Amino acid sequence: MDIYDIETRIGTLVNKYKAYDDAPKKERPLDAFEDLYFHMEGTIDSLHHKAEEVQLERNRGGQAANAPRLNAEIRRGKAQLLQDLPKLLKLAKKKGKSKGKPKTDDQGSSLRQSKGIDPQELEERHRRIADLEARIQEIPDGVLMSTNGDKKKSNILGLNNIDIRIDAMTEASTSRDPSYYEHTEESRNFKNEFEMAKARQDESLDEISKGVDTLRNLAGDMSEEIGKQEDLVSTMEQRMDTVNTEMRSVNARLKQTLFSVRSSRDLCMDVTLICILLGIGAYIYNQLK
Amino acid sequence: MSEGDKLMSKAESKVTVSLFRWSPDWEAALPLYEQAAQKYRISGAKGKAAVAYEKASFTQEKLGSPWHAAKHLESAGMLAKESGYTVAEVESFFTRACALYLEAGRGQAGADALSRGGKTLESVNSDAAYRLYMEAVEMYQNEGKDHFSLDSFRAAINLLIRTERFEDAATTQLRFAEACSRTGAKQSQCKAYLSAMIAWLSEPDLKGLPEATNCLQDCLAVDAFYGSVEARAAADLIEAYARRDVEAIQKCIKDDNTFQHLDTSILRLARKLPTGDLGSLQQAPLPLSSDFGTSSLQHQSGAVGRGQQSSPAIETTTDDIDEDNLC
Repeated sequence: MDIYDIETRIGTLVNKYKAYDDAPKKERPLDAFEDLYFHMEGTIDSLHHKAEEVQLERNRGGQAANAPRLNAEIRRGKAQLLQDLPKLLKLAKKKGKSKGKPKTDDQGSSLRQSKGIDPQELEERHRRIADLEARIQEIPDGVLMSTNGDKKKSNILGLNNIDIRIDAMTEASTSRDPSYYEHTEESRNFKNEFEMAKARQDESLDEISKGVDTLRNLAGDMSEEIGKQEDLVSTMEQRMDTVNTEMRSVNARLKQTLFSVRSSRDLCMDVTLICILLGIGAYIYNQLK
Repeated sequence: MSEGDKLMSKAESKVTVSLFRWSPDWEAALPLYEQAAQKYRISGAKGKAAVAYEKASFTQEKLGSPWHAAKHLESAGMLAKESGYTVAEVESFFTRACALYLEAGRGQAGADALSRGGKTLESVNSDAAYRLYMEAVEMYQNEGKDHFSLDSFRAAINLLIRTERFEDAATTQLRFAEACSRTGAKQSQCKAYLSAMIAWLSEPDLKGLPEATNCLQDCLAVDAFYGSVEARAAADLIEAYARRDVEAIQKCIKDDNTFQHLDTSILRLARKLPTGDLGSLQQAPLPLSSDFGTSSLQHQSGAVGRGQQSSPAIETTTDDIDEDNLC
């Protein structure tokens, strides 16, 4: 539980048990109108708390399991309050004296002297009743209200609450209106653009198809040529193998022949002597040049 | 006397039997003959060079080297063609060379020799050249080297198309396709079938149309051809012909990329399609026959032949029909 949760929980508890506070917020009213008004205000507050509870559950994420029950209670409370409003209106016309201070006046019952109520006070009471009614109506009870002509609240997305009505039989329905299906300038333009884009795409696809065709043809020809070459190369490989073997055997025979003709030591001697002779010959040539 | 002549006379003296020489000295004569031939060729005496090469070849034969003998005969043949020998003589040079190669156990070389002979004679006599090409092809087949025959086939077909022997070209194409199927060259095979059909359709006056149609039917039974793009192109073309729609024929050839990939000579033929009497094609529109059977098309081609005479009759009857409808 984080600090926010603790804070809201404390607030909820305080509001719930506010009635048991030693220091009441306001003094108890002294006449029936005020009495009823105070009572109704208290009910409105409790209904608001219930609505806040629903919202809190929702904000925490997920579905609020107690939302239907609480919303039902709120709606019942609202209905009760709305029923009490005419009573309040009747009481507003009467001005009742207070019963007296309850603690100090034990001796006699206070006589209620019904005086005529001031028009100003009546007007004031009527205004308070109207405020009260507005406050009752404002209590969120989970129902989307159609606010006819009132200022619409916008939700988080910034969209206005749209009044959705499913009604196929009204005359204003678009499906029964023949002019709905006719071309407008905009739709005509759009259709032309669509056709042109489609034609361009078709042309490009044709070009691509030609290219792919050519590639396919080339690949096929290359594959056939490689098949031919493969046979040639394998024949050549066989022949080269034969030639290699023959060369090796010829070399071996030559080596043997050379050894038999002259030993390797003599051969080296021969080679050395030849080189010396060539060197002498080159020296003489250089001298004579 | 030129050097070549001197060498030749020396060589001749080596091989003639005389009192002092009881048997010809082939080994000594050979280099003399070869050098003489080279001298003659350099100096431009091609006839004499051919003779010298022939003698050198004979010497090589005597010395037991048929391969060299065959090589000399080939050189002799090429020079003979340029020096006014008859076609039969030139042809005989190459066939003898081939026989010598076979003797040497080199069948493929023999076939190559025949192929070269064909190429040499192309410009002189197309029949002889075609014969040599076909012999080369047969030899390749006997050797089991079909893929070497493809070039000879192509050369033969180009020759036939140049000389406008379309029916022979078409039949050669079919043989070519058969050789391709043996080597597994499917693309060439399909192209050969399509080319054969085009060759038949190139015959004047639509004489080859029934054959082309039959060919299509037969070729479609071949697995390699059935699913190919060439088969589709061929079917479109034959259908356009069956409808006698000139524009459709030309459009089919122009638009379809398949035709662009054929050999150049075949493509040239295809671009000229439809050949034949365009007037008869247009004036006698025949109903589209979905059946490409021989009988229906022979009937139609017969009708096309009669089209010229019967067209006025057809026009009058249609006028009558119109008048009747108006009434």
